[in-house]
Amino acid sequence: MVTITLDGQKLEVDPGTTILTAARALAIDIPTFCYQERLSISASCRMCLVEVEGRNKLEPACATAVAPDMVIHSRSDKVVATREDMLEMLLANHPLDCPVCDKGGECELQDTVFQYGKGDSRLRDPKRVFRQRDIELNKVIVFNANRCIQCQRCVRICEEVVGDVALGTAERGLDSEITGVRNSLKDCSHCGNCIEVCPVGALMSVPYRYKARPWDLVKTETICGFCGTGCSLTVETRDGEFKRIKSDFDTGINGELLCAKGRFGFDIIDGGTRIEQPMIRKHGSLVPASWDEAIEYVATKARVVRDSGGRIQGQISPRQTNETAFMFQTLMRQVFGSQDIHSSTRFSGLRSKAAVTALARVVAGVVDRMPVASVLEAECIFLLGSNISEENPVTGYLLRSALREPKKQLVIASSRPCGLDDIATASLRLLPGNEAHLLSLLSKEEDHLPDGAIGDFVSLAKPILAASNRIALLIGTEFLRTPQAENCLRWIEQVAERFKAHGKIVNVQFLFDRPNQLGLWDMGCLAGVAPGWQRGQDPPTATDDPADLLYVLGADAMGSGSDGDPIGVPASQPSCLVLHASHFNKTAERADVLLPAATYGEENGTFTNNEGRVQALQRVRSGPQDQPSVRQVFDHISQAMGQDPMLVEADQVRARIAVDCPSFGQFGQSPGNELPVRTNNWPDAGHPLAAPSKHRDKSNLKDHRRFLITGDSLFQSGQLTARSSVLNSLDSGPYVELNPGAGPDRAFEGMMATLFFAGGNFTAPLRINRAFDDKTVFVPERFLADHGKKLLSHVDYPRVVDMVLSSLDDTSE
Amino acid sequence: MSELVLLENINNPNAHRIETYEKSGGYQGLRTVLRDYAPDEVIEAVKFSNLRGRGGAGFPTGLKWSFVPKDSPLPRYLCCNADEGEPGTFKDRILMERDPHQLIEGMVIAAYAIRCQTAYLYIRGEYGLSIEHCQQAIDEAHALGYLGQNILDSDHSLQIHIHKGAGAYICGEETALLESIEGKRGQPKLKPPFPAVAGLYECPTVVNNVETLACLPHLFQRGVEWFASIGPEDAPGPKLFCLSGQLKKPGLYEMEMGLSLEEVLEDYGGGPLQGQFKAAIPGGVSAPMFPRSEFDVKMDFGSLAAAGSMLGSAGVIGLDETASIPKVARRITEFFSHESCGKCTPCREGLTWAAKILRRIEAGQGQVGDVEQLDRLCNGIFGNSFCALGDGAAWALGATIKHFRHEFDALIQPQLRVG
Repeated sequence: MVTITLDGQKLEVDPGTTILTAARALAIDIPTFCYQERLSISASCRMCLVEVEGRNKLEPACATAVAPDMVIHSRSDKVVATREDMLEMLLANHPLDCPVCDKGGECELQDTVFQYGKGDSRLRDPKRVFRQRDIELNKVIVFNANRCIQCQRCVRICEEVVGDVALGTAERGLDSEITGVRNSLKDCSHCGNCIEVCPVGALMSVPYRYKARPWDLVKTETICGFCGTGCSLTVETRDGEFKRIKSDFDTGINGELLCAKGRFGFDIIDGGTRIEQPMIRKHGSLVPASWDEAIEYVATKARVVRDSGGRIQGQISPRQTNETAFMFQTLMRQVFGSQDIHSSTRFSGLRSKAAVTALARVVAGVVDRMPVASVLEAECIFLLGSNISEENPVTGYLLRSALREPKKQLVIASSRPCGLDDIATASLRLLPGNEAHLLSLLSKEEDHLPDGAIGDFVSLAKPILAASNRIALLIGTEFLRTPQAENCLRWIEQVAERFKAHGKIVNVQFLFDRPNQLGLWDMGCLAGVAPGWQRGQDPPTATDDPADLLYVLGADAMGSGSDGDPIGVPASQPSCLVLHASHFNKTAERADVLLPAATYGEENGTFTNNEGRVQALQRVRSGPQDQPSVRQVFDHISQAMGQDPMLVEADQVRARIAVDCPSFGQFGQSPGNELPVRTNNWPDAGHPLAAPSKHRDKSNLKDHRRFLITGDSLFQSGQLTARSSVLNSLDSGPYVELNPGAGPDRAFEGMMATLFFAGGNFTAPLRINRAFDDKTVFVPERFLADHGKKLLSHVDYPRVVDMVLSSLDDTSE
Repeated sequence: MSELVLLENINNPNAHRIETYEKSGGYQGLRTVLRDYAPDEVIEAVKFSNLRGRGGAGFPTGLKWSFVPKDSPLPRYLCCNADEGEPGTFKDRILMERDPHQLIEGMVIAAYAIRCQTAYLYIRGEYGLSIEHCQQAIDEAHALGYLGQNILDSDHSLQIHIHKGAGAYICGEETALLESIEGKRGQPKLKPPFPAVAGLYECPTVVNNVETLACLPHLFQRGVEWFASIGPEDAPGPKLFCLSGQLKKPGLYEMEMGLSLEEVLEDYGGGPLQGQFKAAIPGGVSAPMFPRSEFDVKMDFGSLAAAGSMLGSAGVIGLDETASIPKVARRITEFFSHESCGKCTPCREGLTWAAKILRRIEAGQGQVGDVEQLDRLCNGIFGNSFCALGDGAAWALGATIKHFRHEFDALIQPQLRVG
């Protein structure tokens, strides 16, 4: 420890601590602009200059490490005068158009001048003006160069955290200007984190432009509803109307970071067509019904099916809260008497009992419930089967930040390229389902490796894993769509145990693309699994035959199934299809009963994120008037069936969850302290684990054949994002992403890709991504909506399709 | 000083060719070094010679080399700073154009001392002939075994790559120069870490000026004692001075350090163009000027620093009685505000503001309080900017006000009377 004196206070700090950090520990305020924790140090704004006794110049507190017995003054006359000088100089060219600036009222320059500046300016000369009109750098970011104070936070966050390097600086001196290539941001992820970190009104949000003054906004802190990362965000409304999303440096696992979906996709709450009242299908068409009528209808059907030994199946969207999920499985199990409960049945690899057992052993016995920040402290981070940059972008940003520490290594094996490939020591394009094959190669003792990319990857990755004392294994969920799911899960367990047996710390977490997948499973929304990962009653054998009653909560079972079930979707209509949801979707077109529900943002509750952290959602606005909550509807159905009343209020439900799942909400902070659910009552599969061969091999694929894979993209999250006008403006429609092979990019410009499969075809513009292998094509789930059922088959993921490329001219002829 | 060392062959039109250089003893210093010295002994000898850097700061060269970690597994780099951009400075250009082998030989010796196998010669892009002649010299040295693998059959190998600057003064700042070689935006980097520890590509790196390196062949050919015997004890060795401005005999002169500014201007520079000198800048425009009354200052590192200026790049600029100091101040400030990289607030914003005021004063639009504001700006910039560019600019501007405030006031006063 080093002893220093700061403004007369003695303080012991670690060697290497900066003066600024020491000052903040004492709650001594030193103003800064360019400094931002988690970004590289710039020391360029010169606001934090302090006096160090014995040194003839002032020193930047952000960049100066303490030395033994250092005496520092942060409020001496010289320091105060210098701050005034710096602010006066910054204001010399700042336009002072605060009344019409979106940042007015929450501007760091404004606030710092208020606190540390002089009351007047001596500038008598004209200010520098870059241009009169602001530039829209893209559809979400607008730039006013005149206001920029060159703190370079935007440039640094874009490069160091987001990894885009979309922003840079052109010209020099007073002409220095933040910009992208030719005033557009090529390679921009549209995350808007540059807007968030801008201390002034230089980078602004297009959707929020001139929409409100910050002091008029009502702020609600909640959890993002797009993916499993579970970012904290602040929803800001005025008179109940949604205005913008902000993130806060000190809040949540994400701090100031959000992705494009989180920051700009919240307009989903105003998009789409709401189901405004209960409806019942009569004579082929849906007609409005009263709540009593609709509930009686469902209760009667359910009672008949239950009592006649028929099949009732439940599907719940992984965007539902833990509280609702718990009551859904209660409704299904205790009221409907059914174990046939599903969430994300697109994970068709989980249809077998053995696969569910393997999943339970991994989630309840291997996965660590601890902060991803601690997980990322590992020396080796192994990203398996995930496009983290598009499916969990903020986790990707955290990962990139973590890798700025020296001696850390990243290895990636995934079907889709991702934004972190460029900083990975080894990366491999691996078809989904082949994860087990790869893991077996990585844990094999002998040195003989197969030829080709997979062998090269193993020869690079194996020594890294062997040399690392701490390994983070982050696993995507794509393999759960394949018939290899059980095998992959067992190999994940096996590999984790083997590394642990070698004395390594191994932390495993899933990268779910939905905000509450883990929570739903924890709550028992999985056939054969009771709440708290207890062994449940065996579900009926999976079958493609239609259920007698299918109760769909929040999901879109007939759509692409991103929220629900493209695979378990019955080939023919169930006898009775109940859709309990906020918005019309493809399922509604075939439903027998529609029950309106609140949408994300209209209900309190909790989500369990990928870390296992249970986080509270706050209601941003009220749902439609006189509409019973989802849990009230469950209660009404139960009572209409002559059963006991059901719990409705969130705190009552949580109390019950605490009884049924004692580990709910338990969360460790660091390795050794992590608290996995740890139930050991799931049996080992019993049969020995064989080294699997490849599930799919592209070398056997004929010329025009391709493997079709799907998932979320940077701007799309299942069908949910279909309701966001901002996000859809960024995507400009469906596309097929692929590596077109030999030939320059321009030879493929404007071409269309058509994918042929049994029973149909899918055509969309081609999007070139040379980081794919030449046999894999990707279409976001969102765009497969109309074809999902036919394109994605539970026995055949990745699906083999025939592909034909054609130019627009060909098709018009 | 009667004998010329660095400029010995400067008027020989073939001095840039290796045959000429070899005939006058070229590459003998290198032979001596490779034969008689271990790398550490080279560093010790240079330390003992008290050779100080000729680029501006006057840092002891041997000491700088000794900061390179001996046990680092990383490659080491030598970068020659030939981004000569200080107004009034043209010594490195003449050396590179007319006698570049001195530099190449010096680089081989320096590289040997720090055990480096790759060197970069960073030449400002405007120096076309320098680039051409240095490349030619590198090729010639390669052909004769003074460069490349196993130089003169020793274990020492060296490749020199020329990197052309793209026109930014700031790239003469050593960390900005390294950023520029790496292909990044030319801006100074935080120190520490210093380049000796983590410089080019985060590897140990030494950055030396052209003239500094050009001294080395002579130092090793003729001996440390010979070198140390030239000039004052704390500033030994031959030194180039660039004389320009309003004097009768501008040009590049070699002399020992420690002469008075008066001697330099009168004996070498031939005196003022018209009438009397009014002032002189001793070391490039970032060095504060002296009024004529202070011309007895000795032209060496210590004496100039003690007198509130610096030897800098030894660009001596004479200003005779016809010179308008506010105009000189405006010209200097405009230069620096144009060359400011824009990284730090005081340099970027302050210098431009100062230039605006100076332009206004010169145009007869000055107002009461303008000079005080200039002074305040100088105080706000000096000592607070990220690198020496802003400091130097404010320092130089401050000196013009300090010594010639009456000239500024004179431009402002008449307007007051009218108004």
